[in-house]
Amino acid sequence: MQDGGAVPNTADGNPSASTASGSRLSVRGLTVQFAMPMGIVRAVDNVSLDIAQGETVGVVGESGSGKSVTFLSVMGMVRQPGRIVAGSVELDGRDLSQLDREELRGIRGRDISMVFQDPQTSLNPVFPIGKQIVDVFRAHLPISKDEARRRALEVLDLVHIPEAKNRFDSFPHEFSGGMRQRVLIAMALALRPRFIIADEPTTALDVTMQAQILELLHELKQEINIGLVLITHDLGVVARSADRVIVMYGGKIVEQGDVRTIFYEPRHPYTVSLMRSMPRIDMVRGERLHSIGGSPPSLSGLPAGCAFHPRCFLGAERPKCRTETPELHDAGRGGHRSACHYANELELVSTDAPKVGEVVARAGAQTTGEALLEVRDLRMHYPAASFQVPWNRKVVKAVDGVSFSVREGETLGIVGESGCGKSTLGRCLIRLIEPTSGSIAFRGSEISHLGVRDMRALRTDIQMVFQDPYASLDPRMTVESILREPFEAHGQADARTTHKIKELMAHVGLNPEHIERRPHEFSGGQRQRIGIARALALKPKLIILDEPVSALDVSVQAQIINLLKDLQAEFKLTYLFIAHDLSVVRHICDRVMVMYLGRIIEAGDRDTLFADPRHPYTKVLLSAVPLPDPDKERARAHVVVPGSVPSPINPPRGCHFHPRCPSAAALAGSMPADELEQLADGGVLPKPCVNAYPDIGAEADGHVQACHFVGVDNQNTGTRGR
Amino acid sequence: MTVSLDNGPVVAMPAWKRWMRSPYARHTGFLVGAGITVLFVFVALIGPFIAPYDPLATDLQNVLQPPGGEHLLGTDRYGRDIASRLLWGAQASLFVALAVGSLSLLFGVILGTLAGFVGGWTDRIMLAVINILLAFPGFLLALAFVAIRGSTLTNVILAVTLAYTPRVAIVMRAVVLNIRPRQFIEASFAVGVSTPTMIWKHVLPNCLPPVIVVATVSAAFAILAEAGLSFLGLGVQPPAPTWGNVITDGRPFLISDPWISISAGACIAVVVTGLNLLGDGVRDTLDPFLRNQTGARALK
Amino acid sequence: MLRYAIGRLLLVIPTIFGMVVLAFFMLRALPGDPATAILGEFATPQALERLRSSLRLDEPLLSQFYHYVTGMMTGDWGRSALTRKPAMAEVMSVVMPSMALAFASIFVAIVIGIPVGVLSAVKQGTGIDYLLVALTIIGISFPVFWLGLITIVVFAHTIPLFPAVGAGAPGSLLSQTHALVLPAIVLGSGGAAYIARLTRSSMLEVMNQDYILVARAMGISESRILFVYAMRSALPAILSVIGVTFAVSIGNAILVEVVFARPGLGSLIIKATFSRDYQLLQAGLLMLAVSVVLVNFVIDLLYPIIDPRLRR
Repeated sequence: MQDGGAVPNTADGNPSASTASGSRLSVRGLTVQFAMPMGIVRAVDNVSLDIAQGETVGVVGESGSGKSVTFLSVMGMVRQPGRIVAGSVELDGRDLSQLDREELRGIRGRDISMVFQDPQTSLNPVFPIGKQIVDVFRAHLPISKDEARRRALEVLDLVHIPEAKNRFDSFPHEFSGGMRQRVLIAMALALRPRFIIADEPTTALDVTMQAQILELLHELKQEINIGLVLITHDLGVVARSADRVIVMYGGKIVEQGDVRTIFYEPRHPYTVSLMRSMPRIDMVRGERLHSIGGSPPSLSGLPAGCAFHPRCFLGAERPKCRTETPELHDAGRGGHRSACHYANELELVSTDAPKVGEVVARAGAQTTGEALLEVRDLRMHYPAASFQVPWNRKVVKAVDGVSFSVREGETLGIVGESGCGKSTLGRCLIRLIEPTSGSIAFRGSEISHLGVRDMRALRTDIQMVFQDPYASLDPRMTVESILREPFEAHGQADARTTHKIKELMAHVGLNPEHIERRPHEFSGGQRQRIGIARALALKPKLIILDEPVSALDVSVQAQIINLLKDLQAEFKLTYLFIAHDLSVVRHICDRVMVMYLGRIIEAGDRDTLFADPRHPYTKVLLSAVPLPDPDKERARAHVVVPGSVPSPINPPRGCHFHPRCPSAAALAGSMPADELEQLADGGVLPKPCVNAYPDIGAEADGHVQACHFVGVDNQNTGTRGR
Repeated sequence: MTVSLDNGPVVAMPAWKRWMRSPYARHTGFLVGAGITVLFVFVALIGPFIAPYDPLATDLQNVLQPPGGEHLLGTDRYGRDIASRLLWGAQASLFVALAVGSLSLLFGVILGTLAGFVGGWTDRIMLAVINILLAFPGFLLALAFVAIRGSTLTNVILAVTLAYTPRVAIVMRAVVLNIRPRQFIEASFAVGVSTPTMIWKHVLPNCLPPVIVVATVSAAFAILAEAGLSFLGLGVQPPAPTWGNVITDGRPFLISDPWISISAGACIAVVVTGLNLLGDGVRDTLDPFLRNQTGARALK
Repeated sequence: MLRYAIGRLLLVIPTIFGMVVLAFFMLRALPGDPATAILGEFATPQALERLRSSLRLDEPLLSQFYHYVTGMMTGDWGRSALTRKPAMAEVMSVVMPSMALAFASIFVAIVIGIPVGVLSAVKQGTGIDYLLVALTIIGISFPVFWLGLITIVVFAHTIPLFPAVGAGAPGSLLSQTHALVLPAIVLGSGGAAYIARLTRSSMLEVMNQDYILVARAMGISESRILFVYAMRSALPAILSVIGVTFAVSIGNAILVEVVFARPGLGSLIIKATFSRDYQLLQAGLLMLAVSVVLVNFVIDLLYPIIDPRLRR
């Protein structure tokens, strides 16, 4: 038995094959099939790849691309009804697929370990986190409990869990999502494995948390010599962290190469389309996103030939693409390989990298319209628990004094992290929930306290599109009955309704012949189109879009965004666009409001706000979004803020952002002592930040923000270039 | 791990073919349970017509005949034909099962929907009352009711319904609470659908399947409870031919002539097993989302 | 933890109060005049009058209720019409054998149910699983009194291993335990089937959780995953079904006591029913219901020990 310290383990069977820096994980011809009721589904098809110790490999793909299954197979963790039918997985020449269960168990966690997507569900809720890490040590090493505890504390320190000693016996529910992900990374790191597979490790986290975790992974990689596999759908994450990139589609690798090659000289049409269809935060509102037609194929019905050909701008019409499955072949320098018959033609196609600083004239002057919706001092407080003693009531201040207006014809974006109240705000505006106080005026008439009847009438003017296209359609209804519902609810159903429904379907890009189908017969993007058609049915003036594209694959996102833009122009719609994704907001919105813990902290014209963010939180948010551009992303300064969004039950006193604010901390250093406030944890911050909530100011250009010290601050401590 | 298999083309096919492809057609338990249940209903309906003897006719020449010969399942101490009594008894059992199943479904769904959809104090008070009723063992509640109101078929049905309605109601409430926050409900409210329409068109159709499972279980329980009450002498009064009464009739002759009690008990066991298999099969093939919610509670 | 316990206790009190109220209306729900119902149609007017005043039936409902509740709280549960002894004392005299039967059957149910459920979950989809699932379905479907009759035939007559009737010689623990075996197994078999079914389904559900996947990815051994990680997470659900099983057993215990001619609350209730001794019936039913509430209260207290999220 070896000790699990910093010295990497050597494979027993082949001690000379690996050196401290040269372990290698090789997958050869891996094919995984699932026996489903409708037949055999090939989830991974003849995949070969190599990962070397010390490198970070980004694995990119949309849903159903086989990226997760590939690496679960590497771990020997594919379960019934899945089965590896061909291929091998070798760790330094030792074929893992030939090992028995116990030997394989010895490899997992010790030589290769894994970090999963959702930190909320990945820790066992009934055990303290310390015990769970101790268990990992004791599963592999014959060491005492005390020794395991000592080492567990070491790894917790390594991932920066503050006061690890005191929190050792805490349970997972006592940690925030970001902290839990750190604990899971600590578990994965415990035995200093040579390889870590991280399956969408930041997808379930807010952007500021994502930035923290990416930072941590980067830091760990420099300290410890590991090979990191980063499975993700987010090209920005890849651009920021990966050395090499593997792109998967339909269960196959379609392209691989080093990160700069993949981003700047892609040689597969799918990669090219993916890059072009991504809205980017550094991009000035472009005309249209490039969109890939259709949706990621279902594995049970993969097209013949090249799986991508029906959606391909090169091969859709070419017989070779339809009949012959392309193999991976060399496409350039440094192991760049592509599986496209016509890869060479792509040398002439640019990836449309946006020109920085180029300002495109605003299309039309729609935003000069009159105020359609006026919101004044809106509050939505609700009890924190359903049953509370009267003398100790706790309220969640989901929306806490918000004022703004929406002008006719514009798109107003509301961004913020989870818990900032943006969705609650949206639901208040359409009166799905009744606000606690404040006023909402639609075209001058007050709607915040309408009775049931008037409120329903209002629904013909204000509509909503929901986030989750899988949950927002009644699974038992046909498209026809879903779209008929708005007409029936307002007594407008008549003989022409079916015709109108078909028109609606055509408008949003659905085939009207599918009117009798049920939601499960459509893909995610198509379902979202149904949701949009439902919102359009009553010809509303204002549509509240609650994260309408966040549940969709990247290539489908672009289709929906383009559709929304077209519809806006066609029907003169006004949008309120709620999102957490700043890139999407930048792409589609005219004006943007940033929310934090129930309040608006900054609002302004989109271009001004993105070019010149004034509130420290806005700056943090913008810097946390990774750009899908390796050179730029790595040259950029990143402001990483500590901690996570506090609970809206007991928001921090004064400016809600002060405990995490990098500017306040920096300012405190240069201020006289009598202007500083001593904090409970020993730190000092400027008095106003701790004591008073800053009023949101008004400026001539319509760019407002709520920070006591805007303009004063110019030094960003905590900034780090790479 | 999940494999996404959403957008496969759907081809129209005849109903029977679609059924053959449905998960029910592959679920052995469901098929066996459905088979037993259909057979039971059939026998109960035609039983009185095919019974070879009058179930009440005594024949003191032929008491305690063993199975075989003239009397397929033998006779009891008054010379009554056991097979005929069991065939007639099926009718009583079916009636009890059907009545309890549908009454507890009706009341349970109304109460559960009210509690789950109205919420607030209505929910709290209803939940408290339901929990008090649930703390009373079902059989005890039925027994107390019959002990006080008297031993008639109607009272047995009311008693078991009283015992089982809270169980249906609490499952219905759980399912409604599960459905209510879903986005498609919110989305329908957003287009202006009124609350009654919402309950009728969205909530009920989505909630019913798991609740029907519980109602099936309550129908099975009703057969057991009716037999138990008969056994204690509190059910439908003898000489009425019910399965419970036949078991009781055979009890003094358990050692010498066990077939009387055994054949009647076997009828109950088979039918109840069938109903439980049916309920299990439906639950296994339900939307997994709902299954988790109701699995634990529906077992009661 | 203390807050949780107090919260649970605060729920127990209204539940018991609710049962007391339910029991109060039981007597008032007798068809026609309760006094006539109790004494029969041929009772003398004087006897009826006496009964009415002793039951306070001649007073207003609210006052009746007040005296009834205060009586309940001071241990006055009325008198048995038959023996004229306090109903409370009558009930207490047979409570021990009943509780012995109930707890023994729960013990049987747990000892058989949990291992069967775990085995079934581990072997999911195999022949053993199908067999066990079929057995548990049968287990919840057999009428308990019929099962009792059959076991008497088989294990008391054909193979005379256990006594067919009675609760054993008074004072002899061995004889009493011997007499408890058959009824406890008969009563416990249904509970075992319930517990096995739920253990299986909650184990399967837990085994699909992300944290089990993580434990596997970390190389934790399968047996530890199963018996420590999954078992512990499945316990709350299993615990709750044990509470339900206890309630079902209390109801079925009446049948089992009658089948095995055991003294106990069940036999007492049946006797009281046939002799129209409604005060005694009321006391017996209330006793059983309260025992169910108390057992569930104890089970509620165990939850936070298993699930840290409930400790606040």
